[in-house]
Amino acid sequence: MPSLLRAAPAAGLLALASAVAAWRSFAAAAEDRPRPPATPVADSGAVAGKATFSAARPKQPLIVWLERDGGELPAKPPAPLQIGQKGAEFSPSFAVVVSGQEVVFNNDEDKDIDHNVYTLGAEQKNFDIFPRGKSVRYAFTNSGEVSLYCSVHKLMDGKLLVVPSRAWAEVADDGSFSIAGVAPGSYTLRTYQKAKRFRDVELKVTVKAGETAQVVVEMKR
Amino acid sequence: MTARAAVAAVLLAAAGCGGPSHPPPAADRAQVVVELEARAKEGGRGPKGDSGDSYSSAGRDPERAKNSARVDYGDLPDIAVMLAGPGLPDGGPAPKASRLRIGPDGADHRLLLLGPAKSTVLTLENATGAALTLGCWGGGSDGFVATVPAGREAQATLSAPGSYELTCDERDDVRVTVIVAPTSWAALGRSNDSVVFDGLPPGDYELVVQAPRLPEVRRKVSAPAGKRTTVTVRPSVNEMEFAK
Repeated sequence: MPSLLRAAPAAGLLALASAVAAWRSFAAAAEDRPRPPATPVADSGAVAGKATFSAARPKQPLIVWLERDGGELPAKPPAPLQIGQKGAEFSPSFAVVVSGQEVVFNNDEDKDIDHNVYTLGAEQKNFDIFPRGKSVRYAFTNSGEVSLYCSVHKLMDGKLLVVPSRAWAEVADDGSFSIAGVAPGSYTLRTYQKAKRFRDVELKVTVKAGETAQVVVEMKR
Repeated sequence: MTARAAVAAVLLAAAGCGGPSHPPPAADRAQVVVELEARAKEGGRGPKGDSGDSYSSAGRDPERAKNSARVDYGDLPDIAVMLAGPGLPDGGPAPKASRLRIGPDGADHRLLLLGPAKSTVLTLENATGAALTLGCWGGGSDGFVATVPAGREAQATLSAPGSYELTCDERDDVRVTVIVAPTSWAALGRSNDSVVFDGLPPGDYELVVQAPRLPEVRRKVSAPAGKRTTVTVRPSVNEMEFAK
């Protein structure tokens, strides 16, 4: 099948370019996110660490977050996250949101194209169909993965990870991560992989005021 | 009814011959007919069909033009229909093997179904021109990662019942749900068609229906001896709670 042999590498390159673009979009969105202070302040601590991998890591987001033993402390959620829908694509197609943080889905198409948003996973919701220029907003509160879909467009999907507090970080390419501004206490550190390739990890971490707890997250198959 | 006969019954149903025209069950056996109606609210304005002309004419990347493809709820393939409950014997029609082909246009299925036996096999065919790394994991710790060279196949087994997500490192558009059924009483259907489970022991069961991208439907089903029990299921976005 010579035509297949010719077409396949091109398709592979396009897919790779698409994946890189999606990753860049996620990284750009990450830069815009409200972040805690980089160094621990007097009444809070920090968690820093390194993730190690037993095999090649895919170029997909790896998130670590903390769950406070005994429940989260009350806190003001970050500013709303804006998600566009132009070109029948959720943009960003993946984001981390804090429980209680509003997510605004904007139909920002430049033509009269309607969209729907519905979600499966940690919260199942249907936002109905809305036209160009309109938005819907919602604050997810259940922690976990939320899949985003459009009932009109069959290839339109995205994902959110809802975490219980601002105490989360994206693991960098070199495996490092840090979470600052953490109230003293006992926590469970958890991992999330947008494309799962390793067993997820749970670690107990104790945070003390003015100190940085060091952890190693071993990602194994 | 033997397992082979049950398989035949489901195949007939999948071919559109099931439902009311299916022979009634034996006096000491039960029969469950699951009619699948997958519909969703339509009416959204935008480009129709798969051509994506609206996006193309706007000068968009042709690769992105395919994003305008619309869901056809009247023709949804790959809907998993499963029965669960205590006392269900082996012998149901759940597939012992499933196959996924990944070609230049992506995967040929959005959902695959496997029976619960450890001997069930998932075959992954790489019909692209480059090696693909595929990961398949469920909510627990069961799963696998496999690198499949170009033009080759790989086989894997999944033993723990549940729902798995199969993704590809090299292709973001490959996202397939793999379901390992809780019992052997499971089959694939499609929208506006029916699935027939014949030769069941009489009893109370839970019917579980999963379709790609749609909310799972669970329903209690009582299946008395010598009778056909018909259940209509509508896996649909419309059944979901509206966000307030």
